[in-house]
Amino acid sequence: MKSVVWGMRHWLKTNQGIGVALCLLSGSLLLYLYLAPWASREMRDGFTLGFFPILGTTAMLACALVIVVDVYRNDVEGGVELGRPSDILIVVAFLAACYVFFLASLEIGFLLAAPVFLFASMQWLGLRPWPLAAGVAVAMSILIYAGFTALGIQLPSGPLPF
Amino acid sequence: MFQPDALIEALSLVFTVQTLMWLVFGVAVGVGLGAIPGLTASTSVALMLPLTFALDTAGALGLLIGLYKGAVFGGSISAISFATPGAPDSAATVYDGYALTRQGKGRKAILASLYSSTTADTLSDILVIFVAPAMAIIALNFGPTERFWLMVLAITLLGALSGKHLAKGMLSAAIGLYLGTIGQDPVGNVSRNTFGQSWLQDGIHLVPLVIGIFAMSRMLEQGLDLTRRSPGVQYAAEMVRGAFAKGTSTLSFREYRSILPQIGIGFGVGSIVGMLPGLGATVASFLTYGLAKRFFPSKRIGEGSIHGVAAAEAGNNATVGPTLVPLLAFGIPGSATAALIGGALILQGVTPSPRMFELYPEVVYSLFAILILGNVVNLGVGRFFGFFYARLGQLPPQMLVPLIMLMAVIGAYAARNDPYDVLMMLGLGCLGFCMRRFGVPEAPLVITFLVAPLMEQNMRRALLINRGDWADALFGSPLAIGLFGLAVLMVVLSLKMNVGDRLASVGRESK
Amino acid sequence: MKTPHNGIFVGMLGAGAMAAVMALGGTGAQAGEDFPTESLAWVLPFGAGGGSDRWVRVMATGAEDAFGVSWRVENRPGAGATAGWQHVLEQEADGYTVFFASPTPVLTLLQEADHAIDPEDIEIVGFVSAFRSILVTKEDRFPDWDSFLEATQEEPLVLGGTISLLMGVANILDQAGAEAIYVPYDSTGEAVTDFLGDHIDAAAVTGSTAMTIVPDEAVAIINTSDIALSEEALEQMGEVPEAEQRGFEGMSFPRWVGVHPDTPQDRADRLGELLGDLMAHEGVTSTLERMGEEIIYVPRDEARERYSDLVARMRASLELLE
Repeated sequence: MKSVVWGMRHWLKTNQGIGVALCLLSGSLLLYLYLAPWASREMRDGFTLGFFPILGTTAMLACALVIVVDVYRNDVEGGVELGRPSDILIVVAFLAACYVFFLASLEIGFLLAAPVFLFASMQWLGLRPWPLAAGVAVAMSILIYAGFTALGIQLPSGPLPF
Repeated sequence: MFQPDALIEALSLVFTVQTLMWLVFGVAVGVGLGAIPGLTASTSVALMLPLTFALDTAGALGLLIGLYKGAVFGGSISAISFATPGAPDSAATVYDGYALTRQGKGRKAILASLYSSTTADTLSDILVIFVAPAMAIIALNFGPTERFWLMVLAITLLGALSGKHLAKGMLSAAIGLYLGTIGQDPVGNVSRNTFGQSWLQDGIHLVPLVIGIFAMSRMLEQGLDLTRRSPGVQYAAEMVRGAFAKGTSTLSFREYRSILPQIGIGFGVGSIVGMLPGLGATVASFLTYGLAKRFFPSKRIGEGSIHGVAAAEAGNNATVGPTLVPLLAFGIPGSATAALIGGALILQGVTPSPRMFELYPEVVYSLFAILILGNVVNLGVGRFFGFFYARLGQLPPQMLVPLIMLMAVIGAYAARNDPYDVLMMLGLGCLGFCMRRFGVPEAPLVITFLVAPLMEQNMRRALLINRGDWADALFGSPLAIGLFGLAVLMVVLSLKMNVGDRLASVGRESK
Repeated sequence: MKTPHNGIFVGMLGAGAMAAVMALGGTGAQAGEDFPTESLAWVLPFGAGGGSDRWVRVMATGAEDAFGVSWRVENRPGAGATAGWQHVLEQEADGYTVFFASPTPVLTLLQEADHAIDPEDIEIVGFVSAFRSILVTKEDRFPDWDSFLEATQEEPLVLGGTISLLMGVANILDQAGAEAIYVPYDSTGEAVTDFLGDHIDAAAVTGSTAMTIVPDEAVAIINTSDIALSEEALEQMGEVPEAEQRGFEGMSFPRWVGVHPDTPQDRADRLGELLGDLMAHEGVTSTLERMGEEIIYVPRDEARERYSDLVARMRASLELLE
């Protein structure tokens, strides 16, 4: 039983396993496009509105199918081999941090948001000692802001008077 | 045609302290701006255009041409040092350039980029000076049909850029093809493939795509590595000191000589692509990169080879001069940057038109002189910046990763001021990360994303023009048939050279 | 889909660009009016650096003088230039949020049948400029409008240009009972290149583009708009027949200014007056002229009428292009 589970988990990491997942993804996209009402609308040169998107999706599906069956199907890609499920959480955390920084800079201005973002992420990635990280975060934010301003590009300034 | 008096007058206008100063200023600012992600050459020129109000014609041209050349080169600096292409046309430089930086050879890569940029740029400028009118006539022969086949030629290079596992390369190409169809139908101008989201109506913009796929994806990967590292704490002070104390690599004359073939390809491809409207430097650099990879498998392009850097950078800089050809020959700008330079000339009272050579020969000759001089200045300024940036690239990753992520966010936003571009960049960064993990190369995606919409557009235009007759639309001219033949030849050649197997020994795209 | 100005000689002047405007003076805000008392937001549905951006930023340099208050320029691009429009509709209808646009967002709305916004969801304050669609041909093939019309009636000829400029031509050809094959291009520059290379029979271009190729490479056979060409243009291009002279109702594409449709009439009227003052402001007009831009100011009442007319006409012409 244990070995079956291990086998399943290993298979999911092979090119074949991921290929099957990609087939499902692109297949559902294809189905969605095929059923979308706009896709069948005909343009004046005879092509339907959905022709080229469907072409792209079909190509994706075809490639995914080849990945499932070709000679490399049992290989496990290095990046996948090393991957852990929690990687996804970390990546999402990074992306969310970036987006929060962006929204914050629109609200409270770049000069307040950027040092916080830089300092927090430098700490998270393990930059020590912290006073150095704080100094770099503040200095870099001011430098970037000043540089952009000098070039005539206004970064979001928020409530600060400058 | 040639007017010696006007040439002498032009030289006396160009070789003044003021003009030369503006040229140096333009190149320096251009390199700096170009290195900032999201700020492309045309944005840089647009930003500085108001300064030309107060300048004379030679000074204005010095500033703008300097900016243009500097910015196109500048994009490569950040591509090499931080894996963050300053502009889409430097995306192909990331592969080899960043790999070299990680080997501690960042300065070598920047110098290779600088020398290949300026060499190819100078060659294409000379070509423009001597054969601008003839080049313009060649360009006119490229209608929708011919442009379609040119795009097909670009597509035949996908195999070379796909790496060992062809299916994954093609998957990447298919994703690019699909992403390129989001937005509007080129004939009916109605939205398609937008999932009912109005913010997708304008399609996916190239700047967030390139920043996301190339820069963000790599930063996510590095950030992940850093969080996994135990004990996870790095004392940064000595690393910062280390970055600025280490001896740096340089580029020998022998190495420069060895990259000449790639520069040659870049010169040829860049010149042709540059003078055709609507294609641009990004297409040129990927095409050159693909060709170099195909024809020089022994150079291990993609794994940190100066030959790869040289190809990509020669390709994009060689478009600079030729972009101005349609402007000089017909008064019609072939790109946004050419339009801006044309706009600046209008402000100076010189309207670009076919009669420009006749009416304002001194302006045309000044422009030519500045084109050549700009390369010399670029060489000097570039060396300084290259030195500085190469060292920045050696800073501790715990410092660089957050900084580059921040620059990616503001770069994606600054390009159009559209908040959705930031979301798109982050989403594409995630896609790029997954692709890297699964060993799917990025280059085919960018190529089809750029080329497939152009191919579709030109094919459908050709069909409309030929009233739906496929034979006429595809093979309506000798040039079209010639290009078709070339495409077939490319396919046959790659099958014969068995490139797949050769590349198998070379390995996949570098990490 | 771009306005023709995006295609050719886009004077992309970025933020802070207008520092060059120095000449000040002109009319101050009239006393006795209590609107506007605070700064206005000028919403632009395009990113910084385009033709419209340049316009609004130059206009902003005279704002204090003409309006008595300053302007904030807000770039809100996206969604085929309708994201900015949507934003205006979401603001209070107090006249403090002004929308500055070209035909591009109208075009998007007309193309999307089920769009949440109707092109009439706006109170027009005035027009500040406009572009015309000029049809150019090669002299050896079609030396004048009549020969062109005759040929395209026999067998539809191939015309290229940006969507809006093609609409201008389609509007005229439709009235003449003739057909053509309309090939859309992203920019006027690309269309002209294909035209010069003889890949298409004729091109629809803006007045300023026409001036670069006429009379050396091409001949301008008709001005399809309802606005005469400038004297400077006519001097260079020679005589260009106007749509009206040929018995057609022409159409031109304005840069227009509007506010929320529920804005009180007196406030919209007041904005219209102030806009008129601004377009006569010496500093603003001289800068625009230096940049090769043409001021074609249409006051509020006339602009409102022309706007409704334009929407109807664009709708009809678009059907010919779909």
